[in-house]
Amino acid sequence: MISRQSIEPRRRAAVDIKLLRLELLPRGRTPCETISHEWSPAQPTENLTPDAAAEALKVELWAPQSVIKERYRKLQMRYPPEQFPERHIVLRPAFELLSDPVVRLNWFWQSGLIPIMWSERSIEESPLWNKISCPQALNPELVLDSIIDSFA
Amino acid sequence: MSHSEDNICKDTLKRLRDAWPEFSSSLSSVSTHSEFNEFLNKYRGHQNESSFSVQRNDVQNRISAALLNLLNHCITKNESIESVANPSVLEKLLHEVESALNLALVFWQGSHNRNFQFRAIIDFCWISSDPILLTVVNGYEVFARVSEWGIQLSLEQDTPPFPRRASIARALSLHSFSIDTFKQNENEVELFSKLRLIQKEFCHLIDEWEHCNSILAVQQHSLRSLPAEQSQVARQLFVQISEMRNGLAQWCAQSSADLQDFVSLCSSQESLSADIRAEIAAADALILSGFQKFFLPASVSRHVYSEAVVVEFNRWVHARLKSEPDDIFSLFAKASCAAASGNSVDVSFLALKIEEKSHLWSLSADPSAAIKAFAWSYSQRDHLALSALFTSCIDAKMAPNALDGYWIQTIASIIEMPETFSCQTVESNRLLISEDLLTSFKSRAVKAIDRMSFNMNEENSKTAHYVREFFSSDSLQADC
Repeated sequence: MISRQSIEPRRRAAVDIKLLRLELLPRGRTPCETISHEWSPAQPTENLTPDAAAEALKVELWAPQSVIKERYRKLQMRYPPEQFPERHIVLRPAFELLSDPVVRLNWFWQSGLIPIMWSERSIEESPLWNKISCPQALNPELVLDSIIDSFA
Repeated sequence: MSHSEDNICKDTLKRLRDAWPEFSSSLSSVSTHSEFNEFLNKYRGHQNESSFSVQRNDVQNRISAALLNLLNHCITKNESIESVANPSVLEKLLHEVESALNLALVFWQGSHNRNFQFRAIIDFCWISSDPILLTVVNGYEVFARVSEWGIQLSLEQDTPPFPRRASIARALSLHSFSIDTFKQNENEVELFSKLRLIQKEFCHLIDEWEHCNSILAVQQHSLRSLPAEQSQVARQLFVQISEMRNGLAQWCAQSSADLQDFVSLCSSQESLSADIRAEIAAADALILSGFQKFFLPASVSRHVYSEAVVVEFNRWVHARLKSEPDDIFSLFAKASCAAASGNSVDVSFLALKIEEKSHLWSLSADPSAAIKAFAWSYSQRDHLALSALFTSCIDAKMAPNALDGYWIQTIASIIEMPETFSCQTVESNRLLISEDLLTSFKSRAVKAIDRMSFNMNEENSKTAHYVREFFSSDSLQADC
């Protein structure tokens, strides 16, 4: 199961449109779920959630691509695939899910979930993505501040 | 807006910002009412109670007073607004405040519950949506109207059904980035964080679109059950809901176009690190996937989008083409949007692209929804050209596979689409393509259908025959 910390469920009425779609679309598929280079029509891997992938690689779920690639490189050095094939049954799919932000985001998109991006790292540990740089959740006050600033 | 108008607007928005915490806590206080939790559990986005419970009188008065206090604080007691003598300037200022206020309301939610929104409070309290006279500025009456969709401010009593909302991009402070800022590497951290914020907020935008669009679809659906003697009323309500969908789509498309503009600007920068490039690609692909949902009411429910919406669709397509000029999906969308806005567009480039080797161009998404969405605006020749180009494009890009039957059905639905709209036939051709090129694509489409219909089941074979007839029909050639 994916932890509540990293997702936000959709609102209830959004479910209604799915019922309407079933009624209105003869094939039960929306165009945005049919073909694309970037977005696979396949459903997200049932057994591998981004949380589980992050746990397997011992990285943060929203770590930048370079951090995940570096971590995987080190794991490959420590556990060469030819000597530890059983470890890579878990590590390889986890790497594939997290190393490409398109694939990671696609997991949330296909699952109908809104991702919440977070970090527990300090600025020294991760200069690009850390608890200071990760964006605050927007609220009306921040929205109004931003609009006021746009007049300056 | 001029500098002084900007200052008045800024001052008014600051007043709104100052008054917001008190207003927000008044909205949140509704949750303390004994009936609210039960109401919220059953609430699915629209008023579903037949009568008003008198026990809610108190909370209704409280919310009405909070709304009035907020508006009075921003508008009525605002000396800078009183200095505006020109009604058109005053109207513009009111619209700016309305846009900001409604965008802030989109981001408001009580008790970390995404169903506890402004609209739930308005429906719970049965706040009237009749316009009220708020104040008189230099002899001009200022009206306010509150509905579950937001708050409207105007010099007229009659307002459009859907309130103005500022683009999501304005909430994300994207204005602080320019081409110059990309040259400074120290901004990479901020840019990375901004791209992640865009991804998250775009997901929220799509959630909002699906949520609100489903509410409108359910409202329109319920009109079908009205008795025949009320058909006139039903028609009026249907038109009103359609206008609301236009307003909602315009806001969503405008926000998407602004975000796409920013993402395309980022992707054109060559000095960025691989980490940021990967996030740009993710944001780009996410916006592409999400935007296709806006075509659905038109391509599925035959909703005819207004001109203002088509303008925003056009903006998005142009922004997207900046980041991926060889994308055939965007070129199809550009052609169909141009036809819908009544402009001529040369599709020879699109045709020549399809004639090239298929690895030289990309097909980032299925263009059928974009073609179908504006099918009401095509002349017979335009429709034939788009259908033939689409068929040739699919033939060039897809290796024969088990989905061929699906594509045959999709091509057939594109062919039939213009007839399903209840609009008048369009006579003038808007898609510029030479007769030779069109003929060559028609024969290519026939060959493609022959290839795709090999070894198909009976139903798909019948459809393939119908599609083949369409492309090889002499009567259509004569009409063209």
